[in-house]
Amino acid sequence: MAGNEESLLKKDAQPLKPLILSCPNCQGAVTLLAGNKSLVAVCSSCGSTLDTADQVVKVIDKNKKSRPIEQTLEIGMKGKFHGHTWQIIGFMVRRDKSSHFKWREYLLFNPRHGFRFLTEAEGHWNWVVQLHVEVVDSRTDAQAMGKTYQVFHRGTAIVDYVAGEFYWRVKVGDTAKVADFINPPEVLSKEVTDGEKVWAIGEYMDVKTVENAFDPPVSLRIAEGVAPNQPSLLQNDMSKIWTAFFLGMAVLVATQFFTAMTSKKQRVAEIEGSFTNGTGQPALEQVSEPFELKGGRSAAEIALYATVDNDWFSGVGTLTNVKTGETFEVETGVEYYWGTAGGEPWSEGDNRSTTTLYSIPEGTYRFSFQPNGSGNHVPKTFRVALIWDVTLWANFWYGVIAVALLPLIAGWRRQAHELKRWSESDYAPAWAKGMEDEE
Amino acid sequence: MSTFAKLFTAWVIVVCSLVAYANMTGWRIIGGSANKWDPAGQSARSGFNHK
Amino acid sequence: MNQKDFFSCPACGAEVRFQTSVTVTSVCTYCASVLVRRDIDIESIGKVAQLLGDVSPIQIGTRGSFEKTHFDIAGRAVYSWSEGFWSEWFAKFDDGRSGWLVEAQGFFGMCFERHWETKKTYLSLGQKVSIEGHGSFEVSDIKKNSCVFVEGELPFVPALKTPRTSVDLRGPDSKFATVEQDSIQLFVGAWVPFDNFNFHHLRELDGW
Repeated sequence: MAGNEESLLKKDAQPLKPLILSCPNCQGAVTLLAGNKSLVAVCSSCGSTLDTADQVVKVIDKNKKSRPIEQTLEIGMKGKFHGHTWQIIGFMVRRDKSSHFKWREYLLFNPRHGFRFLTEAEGHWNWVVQLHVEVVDSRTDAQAMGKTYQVFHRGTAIVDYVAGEFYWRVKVGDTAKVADFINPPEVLSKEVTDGEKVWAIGEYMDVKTVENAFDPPVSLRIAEGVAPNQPSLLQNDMSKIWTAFFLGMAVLVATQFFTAMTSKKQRVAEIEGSFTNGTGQPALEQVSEPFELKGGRSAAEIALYATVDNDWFSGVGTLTNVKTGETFEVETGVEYYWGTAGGEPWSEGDNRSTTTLYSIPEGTYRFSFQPNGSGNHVPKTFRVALIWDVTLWANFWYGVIAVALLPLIAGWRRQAHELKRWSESDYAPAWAKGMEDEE
Repeated sequence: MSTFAKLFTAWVIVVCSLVAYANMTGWRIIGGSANKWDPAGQSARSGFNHK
Repeated sequence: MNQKDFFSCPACGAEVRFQTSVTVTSVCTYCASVLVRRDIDIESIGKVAQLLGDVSPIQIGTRGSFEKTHFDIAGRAVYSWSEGFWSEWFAKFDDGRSGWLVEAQGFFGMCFERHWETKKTYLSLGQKVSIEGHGSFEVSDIKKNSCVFVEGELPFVPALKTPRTSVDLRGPDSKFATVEQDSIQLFVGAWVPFDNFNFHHLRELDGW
């Protein structure tokens, strides 16, 4: 039987207000934004750390420290993250005992959704929430929620500065054994204080997201280096890149197949002759009968054959458009050398050659050939033909290289990113150790 | 899709389109205007001197 | 078997109701006397002072749902220990079940009392306990605490300001369990994100 809603509702329920206490040290007003959920609060007037857990407020640390310049968000600011509004109620600076590396933690509160953390180190931000799930950790990794996280850091964290309020007892000087495990963009953190183990999960948050969460947006520093759990820009794209690669290859192969099948390879003109140099007479230019080049723009080939024997032969082939007078000229030739060296026969070159004429427009043309040089003064016969609409292979290979560049560049960039990531860790896997091995 | 993924897809589309167009018009994408002598199958190591 | 649900508060005379069949305690909304139902009469076992700095979004009368069944919040018990406070809200389900909505350190969970065969009272930190039907649990905390505040209606008589020991256990996924050593009770439940409860009639919070 459902409860009668109206009768169960408290009469005259007042909206809840934050709790205001008096600082026992300076009698200043201390506002607890999280009310009785906060155990510790730092008096904003005198800087004393106060225990606010029960009715009697006690001073637990009188040492006032100066505000760190790296604090970029203020206590009391409200920002929108993951669809809800959160208020910054606490701030602390912690330091690694051995490396003295410092980072900042902001405690956020929402009465309905509880507490969250925004951590910042070298300009990189993480959105962190305490975990209640089972985590199984070992020397090398941690398993939680069906995922594996690689150990990245182990050390001791010391509290250097506190401001605002906290839902656990903390003061400057407190230490905790910490361990971070990564699975970008996530980081699983373990913290052990007095035997009590607490796990938290953090997700990398883009600087822009943090900046725009506040109204008006805040301006934050640019991130430096690669954060432990910072995802590589290409991390999620690799499968898309491979898909684009294979699709691209398939399209290129299909296009080339179609090109090869549909090129006419039409022999439209042929010129034969002989040539001897050193006769003192200029060579004759032979011109063919006019012919049609049909089917739009295409490439043509000049196929030359000459009887060169340890000799070379060259000439100029010209394609002249009968109507427009436009000419396409190309130098072509053959060379063939052979012999024996130490009992072994060798040869170089060929007495045939093909030269391509690109992008020839359709029309009526004449083809002419003028021999212009040779090595020996031996007469040679030559045969030169013009073939219309040949298959080009160069474009296909250029395309293959261009498309293959994708996974190559992506893989190289990812590798560079990963090496940078692990350069900051004592637990880098073997492949990421690189130049660090010598140390 | 991220900026990179969009860039890569666009690159593939451009390359394939360019290759198809070049093949259809008999144009060689790189070196399409320089008409060179291409001895069939061999490199002209011996050079080629005229006169 | 008593039929009478309306009483007069022995301290201030205001109307006091016991609205659910399992309620044995009801806090007078006018004078905050904690009234316990004994047969046909009610008796006061003390008064509770206003809870200072309460920022809980839940109130008596809040309605929510858990695993597709709806419940109404009928009462609350607040416990204090060395590391602060937590609330256990009495949830009366539409299907007659009684559950406890736990509010601790900003997290919410729902748990139910379970039959406890072993009745192991002595448990140490880190000890593994197997709970039938729920899996393997590990003792994460042993807390000395006491009930410092009550409101609404409760299915038990609170031992106000009397120390007791509660053992917290962490289970698979987001499950948790609590063993009350003094009353020898076992509660098993799971932590649930606030939005999943689909709450209605939440308390208004200034500035939120």
